[in-house]
Amino acid sequence: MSIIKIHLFGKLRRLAENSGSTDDSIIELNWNENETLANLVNKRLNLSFDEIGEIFINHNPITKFNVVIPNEARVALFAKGMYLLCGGQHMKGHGFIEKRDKEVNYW
Amino acid sequence: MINEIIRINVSSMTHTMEEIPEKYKYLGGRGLTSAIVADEVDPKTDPLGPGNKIVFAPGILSGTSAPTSGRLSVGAKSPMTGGIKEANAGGLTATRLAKLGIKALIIEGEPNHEDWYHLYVSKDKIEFIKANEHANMGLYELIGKLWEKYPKSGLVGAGIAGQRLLKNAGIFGNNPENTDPGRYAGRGGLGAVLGSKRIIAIITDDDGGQRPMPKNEELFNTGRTKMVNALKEHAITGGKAGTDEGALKNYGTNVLQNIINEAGALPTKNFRSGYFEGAKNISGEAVHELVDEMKEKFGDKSEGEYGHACHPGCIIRCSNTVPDKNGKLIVSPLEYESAWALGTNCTIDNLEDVAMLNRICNDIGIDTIDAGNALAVAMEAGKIPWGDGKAAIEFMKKGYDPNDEDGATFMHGAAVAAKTWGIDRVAVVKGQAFPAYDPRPIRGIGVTYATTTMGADHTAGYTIAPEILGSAGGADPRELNKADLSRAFQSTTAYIDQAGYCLFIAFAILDIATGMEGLEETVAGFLGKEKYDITAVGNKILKTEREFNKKAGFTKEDDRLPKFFSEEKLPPHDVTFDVTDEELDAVFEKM
Repeated sequence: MSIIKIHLFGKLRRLAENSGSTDDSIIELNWNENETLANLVNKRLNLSFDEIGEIFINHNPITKFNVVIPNEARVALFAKGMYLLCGGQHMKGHGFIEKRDKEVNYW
Repeated sequence: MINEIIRINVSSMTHTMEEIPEKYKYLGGRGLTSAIVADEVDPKTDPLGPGNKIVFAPGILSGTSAPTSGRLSVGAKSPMTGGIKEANAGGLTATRLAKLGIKALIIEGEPNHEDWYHLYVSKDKIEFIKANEHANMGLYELIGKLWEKYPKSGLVGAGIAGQRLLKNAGIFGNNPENTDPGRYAGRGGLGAVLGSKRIIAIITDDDGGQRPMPKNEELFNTGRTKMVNALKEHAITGGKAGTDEGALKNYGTNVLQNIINEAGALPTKNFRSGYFEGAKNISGEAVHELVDEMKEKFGDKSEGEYGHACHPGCIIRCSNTVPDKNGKLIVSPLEYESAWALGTNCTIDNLEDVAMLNRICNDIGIDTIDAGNALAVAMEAGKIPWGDGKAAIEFMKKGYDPNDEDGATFMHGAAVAAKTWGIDRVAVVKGQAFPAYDPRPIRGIGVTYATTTMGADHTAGYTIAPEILGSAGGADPRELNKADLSRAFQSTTAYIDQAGYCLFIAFAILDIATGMEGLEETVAGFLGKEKYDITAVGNKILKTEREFNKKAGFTKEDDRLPKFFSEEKLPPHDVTFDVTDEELDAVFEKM
């Protein structure tokens, strides 16, 4: 069966069975073809984006909520306030923390 | 003493007081240390010889009521890089010096004796205090003894490594509670420069001193309010410890351990992978949970804490104190860079072991980033098994023994350790080891590692607010190439270092425009200037530092990363550092 794994960090760990900081707090869900990140977060996880900080899919930082989740994806969701800081900001190619209005191809 | 430079001559064991010259009138922190070093130190001088000088300078706003502005800059020619160096830290000394009206403390000359001294600085006197009994003493014990005699004093100085002139010796500083010497201006071996002057500690007593007052109080206060509000409002710097709000107050800088890991950019096993399975065990979240657990178990007797301030007046409070299983302090702070260097980079994922390694670094007086890279080199050389925290602790303890060759080699830092032990794989630029961001998936930071005058340094080019960059011409940073971006970031970072603000104010003013106004207005209001051009000031500091390094013999060939970064793909992204030499050279060619 096609699945995706949602790795949760900070306060979002509460959604997983193993919610300790040294546990892998993971939810496994069925993969839905053409499902967007917005649908996954809002509908299936019942979270608002205001509760979420940095988001990664397969280790890539995500700025757009309409991105389609690939099969067997590793999705990492960090709680509000947990962002790529310091040197990590260079990964986005700019200094904005919370703005998600524009993607930068930094590769 | 108001607006004065104190010059300490260790040859004659005397001091002089000088009114600050006109050319330095609007400088502070890094701007002042670099200007003095550039003006007074021959770039080709021996860093540990009589020609070098070490300068301590509080930031422009240190000691004022501007929030989170109590940083101390330390500058000299670096024995580690051979170039100009500035390292800065929190602690107590910056605000203490500022309240005494001291803009810079310069230590120069060559001792003609074998004794060790402390330097006592207060409103009424400056004196040398013979301190041979404190030589080769661990710093936890030393700061305790000094506070018995000089309570509430700011302490900075050279530990065991600095006294032995080893290249990875940092300048230690006591934390506000004097429980830990871990407020380090750690990088570049400045502790060895102070050790070469036979000074162990500088004790600053600000009793009778006064808070520095702004020239334009109204403008300063307007800016201060804006800055305070921006820091409180922002999701990263605001919030409250123990609640759902405020990442830095709850997880500290080590919030990044899991985030950079998910980004696939967490350097693991001496930069072989960007992902570490054990990262969660040594993360900021793990420290947070341990602190809560010990509080629950031991109540107020537990010494663990998050949301801890590293200097008076800090409202970001990203520091922490890590307890053991009995609730007793192991180390304060355990920051992201240290947890990465001593943990992830050596594949050690036991939190207590990593905290203990950090404690030993603090005790013997060395920088944790270079120490962690040197430990990884020792593992490459087969001296310690990968991932063995207990063996790493025993290895690091060799540093206490002045006759142990491995201990001394290790305390010189990663570059010397690699050369001595015949290891090619070492992540250094200009002799200084890499921090905790792999430059292959994060190429922008690689450009800064390569080109900054400081050697590989993540704090040299922060991704600063676009609003700041905007003041240089309104450019959207997302439209800039890596060279332009790196130059802009290095310039604005230099400005913040000069102001005395902690670099972390940058996060709060990223998304809050009035925060940026607060930065400009506090500095301009304090100095009594209508405007203080951020980019022009930052660029001037960078030019001064570049010019020094050029005279010291550095060329563009020194602005390069080690070859394996461009040849070896880093999983999980499987990318190399592919920024061209031309792009690297463009960073400063266009300035």
